[in-house]
Amino acid sequence: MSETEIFRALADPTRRAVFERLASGEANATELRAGLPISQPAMSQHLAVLRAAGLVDERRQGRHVQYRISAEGLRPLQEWMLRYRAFWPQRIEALKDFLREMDQ
Amino acid sequence: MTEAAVEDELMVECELEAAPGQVWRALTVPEFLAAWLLPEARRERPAGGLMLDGSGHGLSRQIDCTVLEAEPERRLRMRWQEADATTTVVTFELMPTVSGGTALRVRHGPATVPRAANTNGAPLALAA
Repeated sequence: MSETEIFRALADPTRRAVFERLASGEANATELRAGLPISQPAMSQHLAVLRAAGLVDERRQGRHVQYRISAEGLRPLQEWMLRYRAFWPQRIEALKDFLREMDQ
Repeated sequence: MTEAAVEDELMVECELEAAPGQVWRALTVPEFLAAWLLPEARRERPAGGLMLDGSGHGLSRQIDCTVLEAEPERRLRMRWQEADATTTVVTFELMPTVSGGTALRVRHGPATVPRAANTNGAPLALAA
């Protein structure tokens, strides 16, 4: 999975909320819906998008499906963050040097 | 219930001695931007943007930068498209400081950032 798909999956506020809920532990779709103004089919759809992005795994338990965060799911995003977390401070130092040269 | 906020936007802030007008030129004159940010990948420029070469910094050899929004001396938004990676958005925000310099904030993240419904842990609060 790429960070593009992860960004896209998390771009929806409801999906993001669902994903952040799962960060605290496994849950089924009903538990995940608690307090959210969405229907069961809408929740299923959100969970399908999160699964397709590799962010969430599912586990069948009797009649229920338990969802949980995929351990590897966020890695592409973390790698992206890591690259740019190093990049921007360096470039800002270069900008400072450049502005000083502009002055002269 | 602990809800870990997902972090998918970077933010870097700094204070520059140069005035906003000068910083704005460093950001918007193509030759200036290429002098400090990344070198240009090729001579011919795409309309409204630049093709930068990130290979010296562990990024793609071609990064297509296109201006999305420009509010002189205040705000510049650029689409940042790495050749074989994701499309993101870089936003530069400039604020004059009392000493005549510029407070610069750089944000880099997904093209659509859902902030409204996500109040906990969001790395920025523009209205604050």
